[in-house]
Amino acid sequence: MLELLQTLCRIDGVSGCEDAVCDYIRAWVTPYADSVTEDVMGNLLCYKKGVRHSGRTLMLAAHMDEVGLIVTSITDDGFLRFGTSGGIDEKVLLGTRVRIGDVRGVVGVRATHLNTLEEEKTLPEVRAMYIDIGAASKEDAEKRVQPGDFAAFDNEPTLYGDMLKAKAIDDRVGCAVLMKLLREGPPVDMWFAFTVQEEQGLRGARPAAYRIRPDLAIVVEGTTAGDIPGVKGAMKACVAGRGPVIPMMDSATLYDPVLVQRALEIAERAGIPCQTKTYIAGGTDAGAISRTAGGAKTLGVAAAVRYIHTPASSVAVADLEPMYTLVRMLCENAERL
Amino acid sequence: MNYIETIRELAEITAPSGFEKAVTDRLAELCKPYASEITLDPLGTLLVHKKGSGKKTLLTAACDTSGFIATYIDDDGFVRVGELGKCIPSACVGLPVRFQNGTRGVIGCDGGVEVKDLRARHLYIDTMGETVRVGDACAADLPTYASGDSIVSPAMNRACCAVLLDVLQRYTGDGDVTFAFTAQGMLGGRGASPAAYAADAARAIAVELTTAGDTPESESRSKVKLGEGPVLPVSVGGTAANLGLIAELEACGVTRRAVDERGQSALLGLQGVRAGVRACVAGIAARYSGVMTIARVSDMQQTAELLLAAL
Repeated sequence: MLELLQTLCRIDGVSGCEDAVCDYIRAWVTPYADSVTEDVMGNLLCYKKGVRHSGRTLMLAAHMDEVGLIVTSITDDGFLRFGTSGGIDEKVLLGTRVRIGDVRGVVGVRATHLNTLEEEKTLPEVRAMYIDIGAASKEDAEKRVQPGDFAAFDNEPTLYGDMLKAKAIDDRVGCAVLMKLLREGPPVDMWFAFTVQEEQGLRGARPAAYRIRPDLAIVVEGTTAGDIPGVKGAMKACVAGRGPVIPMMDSATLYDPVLVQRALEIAERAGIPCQTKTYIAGGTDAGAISRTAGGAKTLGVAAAVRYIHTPASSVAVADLEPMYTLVRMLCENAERL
Repeated sequence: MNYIETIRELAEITAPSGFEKAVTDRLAELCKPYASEITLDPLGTLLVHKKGSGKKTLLTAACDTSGFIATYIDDDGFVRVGELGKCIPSACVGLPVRFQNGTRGVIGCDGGVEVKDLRARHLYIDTMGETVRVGDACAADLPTYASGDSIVSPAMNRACCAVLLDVLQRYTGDGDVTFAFTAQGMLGGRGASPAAYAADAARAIAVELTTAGDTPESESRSKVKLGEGPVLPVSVGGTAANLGLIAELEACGVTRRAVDERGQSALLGLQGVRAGVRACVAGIAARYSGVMTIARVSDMQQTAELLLAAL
């Protein structure tokens, strides 16, 4: 899991441009899946027969895209103006290294020497920020980049203490779980949906679910962990290192309450540490899947990710295997969910 | 049908958004003698089908109420919550609530927070030591009662359900009608779209509460008054209703159009299903969306009459 996750996080797939991630996953899963198709949106949909048929259509979903930037224009001096693709707090962008394919750049930040007293107290808006790719002129920049290109955070997955830091853990961690389950062979017949544009508003999941028509979907995700200084009690939402999260609810979905309780029981019986989400925030593909066509029951399993949607998103290494085991156990109990 | 008794019975069932089973179980019993088929969809919406050879119509009414879900229980037993439906936090302080397991509580709030800064995260439920599990849901524990022609209730969505029940019981035409008591209405009308998919009807009418503007210094632009019969909003929360369908209903005797700025409507969810659904709202004027809502029985009865004429 750890190695696969690191590999997946190295690939760039900003929301709306998931091709490289999709190519990698397609090549990786093709030997194991019974069928692999890509829909018009770019979702990668794989079917795999399991040890048995559960009598229901089961869908696992993880999104391939990550938050990032999109180049909107090139200034006369050869700097790039950009917008965000997915929810990013502008604070984390200043001075951040980014890459547009092979082109390296940095989000410019004014050195303290140049700031007025007033400017020191405020943050610039995204509109006023720019990416510096070291171009000598507008013409020089245009040779390397064009408006519409996507920029991803440029960093290498790094282990520190008990944590793995990497961009795009949300949701390559979900992709890694699905891939491993495909390789090891699922307990029941099921669909594996690697979706696009989740960070743009759950846009890929709807057509994916429309095609698959699941009775039950388990969305495998990364979710906000607030176990950091200054955050107390319920506001922590969830805690890194305490096992996978089974959310009851987020801003887009109320996961089926009966399934949530059963999933917690299954985890407890199997001795898998897990936690619920103590603060309602965020949203997942379940919001779209649950309402597609005649509707579907949904359940979520997520890794607790600190600093989510930043270049330094971090997951506890110890949470990865239990997360995989939990998803596998839930599939094994598909008839009881 | 006795509206007051029906609404009181339904309103006293604790069944907030996502936890509708307690109320759909009772609704299914009440519908059974009149239905061809009754099913529950994956989100928990109760679909009651009355078969007919004529035109297909979907009628919807959200059967949930707003409420809270327990997300965290601190060392002293105070319960932190998530909102099931947008609450007005300041209106919730001091509110008695009841969990589905019967546990009762009172909502308190963190000290040191100014009223204008109050958010749901500052609220907690004091259950006086009684047990609640994380994931349990609760709703306002207040009585529903009549005062003259008015009904006062913390669960006024159930009045919309009563209108659907009334129509179901009295409809004798040959139309093919699905009555959907939808789940998760207070979470943004989430139950509407799957219900419309299942019903596969070309037209849908959502029975909903429409914000009344007949109160002091009301900011509602439409000046809807209680007791003047059903309202036909041309737009709800920025979603336009189908004007052709509104005209059909007007031909049945209603002339009160309005614009409703409120958000939680089924309208948006109904329209985009399959190849598109002609949808509008038949609104019952209601005052106050904080805790207790006031609406008129005569408006509910006239809404039922309108639907019976339109089917």
